[in-house]
Amino acid sequence: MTNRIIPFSYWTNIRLRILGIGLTVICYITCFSTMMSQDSLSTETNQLFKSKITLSANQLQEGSIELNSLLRVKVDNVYQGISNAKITFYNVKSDGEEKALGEKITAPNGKASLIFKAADLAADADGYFSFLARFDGNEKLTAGENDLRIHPAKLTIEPIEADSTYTIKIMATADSPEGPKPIADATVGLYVKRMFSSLKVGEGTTDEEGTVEIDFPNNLPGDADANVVITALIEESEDYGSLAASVTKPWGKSVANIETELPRALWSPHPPTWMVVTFFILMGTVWGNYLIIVYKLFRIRFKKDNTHARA
Amino acid sequence: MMKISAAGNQVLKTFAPQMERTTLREKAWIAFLLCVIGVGIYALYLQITVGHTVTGMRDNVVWGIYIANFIFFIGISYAGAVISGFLHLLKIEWRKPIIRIAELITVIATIIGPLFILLCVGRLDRLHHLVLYARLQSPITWDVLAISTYLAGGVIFLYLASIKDFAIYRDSTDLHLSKWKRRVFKFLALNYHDTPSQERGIHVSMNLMALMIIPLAVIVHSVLSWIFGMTLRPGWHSTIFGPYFVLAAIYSGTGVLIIALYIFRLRYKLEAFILDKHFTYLGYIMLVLAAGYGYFTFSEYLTDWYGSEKWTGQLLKKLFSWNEYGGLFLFTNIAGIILPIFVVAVPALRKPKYLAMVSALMVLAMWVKRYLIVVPTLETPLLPIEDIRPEYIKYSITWVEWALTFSGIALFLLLFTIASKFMTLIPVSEISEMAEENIQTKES
Repeated sequence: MTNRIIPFSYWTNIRLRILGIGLTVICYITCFSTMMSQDSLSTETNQLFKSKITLSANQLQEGSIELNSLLRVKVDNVYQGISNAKITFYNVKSDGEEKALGEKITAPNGKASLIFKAADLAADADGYFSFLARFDGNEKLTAGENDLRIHPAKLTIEPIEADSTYTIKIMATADSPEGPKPIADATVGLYVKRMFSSLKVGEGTTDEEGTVEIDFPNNLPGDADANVVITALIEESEDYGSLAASVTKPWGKSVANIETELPRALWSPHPPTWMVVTFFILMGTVWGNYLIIVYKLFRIRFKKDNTHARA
Repeated sequence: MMKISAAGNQVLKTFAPQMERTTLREKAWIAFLLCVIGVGIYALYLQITVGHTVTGMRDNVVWGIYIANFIFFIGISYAGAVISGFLHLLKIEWRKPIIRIAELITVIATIIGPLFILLCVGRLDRLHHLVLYARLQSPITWDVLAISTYLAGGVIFLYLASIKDFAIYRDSTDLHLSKWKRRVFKFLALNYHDTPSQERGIHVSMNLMALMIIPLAVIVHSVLSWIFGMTLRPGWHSTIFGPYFVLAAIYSGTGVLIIALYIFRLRYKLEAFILDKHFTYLGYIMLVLAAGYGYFTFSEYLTDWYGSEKWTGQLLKKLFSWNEYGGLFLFTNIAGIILPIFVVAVPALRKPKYLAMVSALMVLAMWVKRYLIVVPTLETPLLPIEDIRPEYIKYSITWVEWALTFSGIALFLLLFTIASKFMTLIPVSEISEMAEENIQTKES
């Protein structure tokens, strides 16, 4: 009778055990040493970082104000935006009372924006609006806030078309109890909205009447109806923040919204013909052979004369 | 009732305890492997919930140890595909005791390899987009199709080679199997009773698969290399990357096969079946492959070095610098090329023990080489890096990546252990008179 259980020799046993223990130790040392090094890193990152918040305002054409905040932290001398942080925006009245306007969560770049109607806001004795953006902090970041004071103002945009030449007349006025007051010597930029950002097409300075006229080019591509979105912008004024006004006019060149048929190429949605043919020949050959083999296996399984073994 | 040779009977008796019951030692081994896999599952949970920030991969170095593991596992799958395919076609007798282990390595490694690709994917919830929005022009699509086709081929090849054995397990009165296991073998044996037509059917199918599996394996590893080769990056955009990868894969597959044979011979006392000459012959194959691989390596780096192109020069500087990857690069060349050639070339060292040792070193060196192909190139971008934090410039492996790597190895060993519960690691039906003579010699 053959002994079925094949024991290890004494030295083989010892060798295998040493090998097993060695492998286990290596495995755990590698895991734990990297875990420990990561723990030490995370301990470092447990310190409280100082957050920094900035606030800016954009006064829009239709009497709305857009407040923009940017929450950042400095790590290794590089500023990084903080995402998923709650920012609360306030309108601060002259008696110091804070009226919440709304809350926003910061995007991955640390930015948060809130748009609201200016009509509901309380102005101070000088006619200024005061705003506050506040971040309450968390276990890793200190709290932070920033305030901003702006005078209500607006841009009015008027497109003028004469003899196939296009001009944009812009008027900048500030609100006052006596009525609109012209804003003189302000630099106004003229932009056209493109696919990813705005293209600057002109610039001018307002006169004493608060107006400026800027020529508009007549060779810009527009949409299928030749429409272009034109924006006048006064950027980051100390008293008024940013002022913006937009208008859509068919002053561009019509670009047909018809997709041109792309050739078969590596970069197009349709691969080159030779590639498709080669692919189907290769895959068809291999999988065809697989199917033949599966068929043969079915024959072995179900063929009736297969019960007589060879002598 | 299937006819079985005396040598086959001996094989069956050797592996019977393994197939019939699980000893305490085996249970402990399986529990250990499950523990390692458990740590990996926890690491995976962290990676999915926290994000890839728990790995060393960043915007710049977007591939790391996972992709090196992927190439490595697909590489070792060549052990079965090419070696058993070639030996089968050439009708080489001595292949018979070793083909089962080689084919198992192929199938299991082809299952494990692609799992590492999944670990690289940031949005696993969009994995089905790979199929829905596949572009035939993309090497990634080629890879998905080639590897799935290769896996199907490997499984069919292994199954065809095992049908006769399944029939023997089904009919054997010496094997005391549980009812469910015998039912499984009855199903897998496909009513095979060794009739001439059945025998012919299996034989033709095996020849067909052996013919196909070799070009298929070549295509799979070429396609894998093209993921790199089609990219205009220093160190990757090379016309010899296809054959270089194929050769490296067969080479590392041979090394893993030698290690596996050595361990199983030791574990099950298989000296009568897995002979010293098997190691010697595989050693010769390894020698030829090492020389070829060395030639490719020299040719690749000499061409790059002589050209002195700006970005390639930067990459080579890193590979040759002691402060960067110089040590690892030297290790891959000594342990991966020179040592195997030396050990096989010296007759006194051409022993199973030394061949297994040098194979283990070579396999490790080949893994490091895959790492050196992936990481230093990604650390050498063509455009300046926007974010200059150190971890964005320099890749370092985190414990999460190590844990998942060890889990992959543990899963490989676990699947091998499970496979050994369902089949003999030496094909019972294939063992020839030669093995019987060996047994008699050993017994006398």
